[in-house]
Amino acid sequence: MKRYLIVTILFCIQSLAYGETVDEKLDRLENELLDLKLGRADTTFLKVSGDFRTVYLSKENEDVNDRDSNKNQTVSEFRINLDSDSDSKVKFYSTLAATYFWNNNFQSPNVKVLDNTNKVQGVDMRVQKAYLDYFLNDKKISLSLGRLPTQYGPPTHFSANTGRQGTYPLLLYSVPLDGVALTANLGKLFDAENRYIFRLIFSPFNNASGISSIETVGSEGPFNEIESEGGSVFMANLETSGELSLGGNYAFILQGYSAKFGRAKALSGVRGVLQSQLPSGSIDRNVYEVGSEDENIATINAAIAYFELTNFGDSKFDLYGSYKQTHVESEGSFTAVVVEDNTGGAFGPAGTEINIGGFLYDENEKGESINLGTRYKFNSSFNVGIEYLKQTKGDAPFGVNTFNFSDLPITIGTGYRFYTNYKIEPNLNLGLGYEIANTENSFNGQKYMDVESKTKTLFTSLRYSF
Amino acid sequence: MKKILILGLLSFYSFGGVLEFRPELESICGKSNKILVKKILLGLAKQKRARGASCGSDLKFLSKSCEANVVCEDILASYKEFLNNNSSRNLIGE
Repeated sequence: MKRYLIVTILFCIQSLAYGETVDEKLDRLENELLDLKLGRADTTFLKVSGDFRTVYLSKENEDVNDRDSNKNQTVSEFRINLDSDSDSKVKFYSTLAATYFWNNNFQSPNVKVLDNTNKVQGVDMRVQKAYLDYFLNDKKISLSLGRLPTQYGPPTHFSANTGRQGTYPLLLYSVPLDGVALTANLGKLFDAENRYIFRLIFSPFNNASGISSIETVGSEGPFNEIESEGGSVFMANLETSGELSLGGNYAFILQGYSAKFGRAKALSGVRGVLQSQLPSGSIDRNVYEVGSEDENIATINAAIAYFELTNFGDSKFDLYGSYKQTHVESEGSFTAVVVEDNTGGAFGPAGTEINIGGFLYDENEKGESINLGTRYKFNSSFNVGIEYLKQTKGDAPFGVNTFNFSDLPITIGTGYRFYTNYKIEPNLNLGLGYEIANTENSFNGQKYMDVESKTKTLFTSLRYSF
Repeated sequence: MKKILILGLLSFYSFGGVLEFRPELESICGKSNKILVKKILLGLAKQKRARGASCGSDLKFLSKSCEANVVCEDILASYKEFLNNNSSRNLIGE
């Protein structure tokens, strides 16, 4: 009995000490419950998340000869993220992705696109991202290694209605690159109020394959891709973000790269290389071997300045844009050797060597890229936006992978995009948009050719994230 | 008997509230859930700490959502969306 009395007294003392009302007690318990939840989330060894995105594209293309071609495509991308970031010093992030045209394998079962520079990479899950961050000196310095988050960079997140998806501005490039990076958190190092980050990134190229042999050549390009050996990309990135005194937030990124493309290896069995030199209606049926004996084929130097202002002046408007300058130095050229003459000697007999120019451009070129966009948020579920893009000859647009499988970022010419997003459910986003691209130069797999065409694209997307 | 009674009272007093307050979780912006909201915001800030002081817009967004009495699921989904999309996984070295 004495024991019960002591317990009761202790309980009363505890209640008096806390002096809690029922509401306060509930708040405290709620607080503790969330502590547990947050604590558990922080210590989960492996975090799984991802998204599933399906885009329907209706394209209408009109070229200079008024030849129209329409194309309707449905593409899906399934991405699964496996992260381990509970350790304060070493964090690992990965994304596996499969991108595929609907039912493409039934109609073209033998085609398996295996190149990361293509938007649609096939039904196999591929490594889109796999890298680790190693933090030093109280997270003021970090070293990163692996396939880095180099795709879907800003301003993708505005039109995609997501958070930021990549480190580099999209118009600099959006392809998965392996590399090593050194990041200095200057804001922390110098006790600055805002965020200042400086990165140095190095990506060496490797080509472990032997001489390639390709047979498939489309009418749009004389050969699939150039095959090069050696080379590297070196980048410097400076970015800052913070709150605007006028209201809203800002982010600014300054990034440059120098990319060297190594010796071009020989490609055998290439067809259609000189198609553009034949009169309309003729087909280049020759078989060629294409390669270069020059040590390097090109060096590209580019720098981009990107800005974004969100909720500018405490309004519902977001503004964003970028300016990029590119210098392409042509350092080598390709030679096509006629291996099999099927055109009646139009380009000479077997063994004839023909210079077909350099990579991207035949000569040194300078180009520009200007992008501006704005988005208005009616509420947290619904927004509309518009973008303008102009890229001139001399630019090297590598913004290959885009959220809505758009070709606009790799267009040399001018383009407009209107988009709208509606969140049907918090994790289910419906997007609708319309794009117009006026192309002045088109990449044929080796270099940019003068063209004049207009493509109008209507796109609808549905994205589920989990 | 007395032992059971006292333990019963203790249990009710200590844990019974949890049962009562569970329905309130349906709306974390409700009056009795301010701490929960605060903790989510703190959690958000914690996730963003590595990135410095750039979390203003997200915090404001969540705060405004609460003011507009958006239900709990929306806030939690926004939080999860943030973790999925805007976390360090997309920023090299942060």
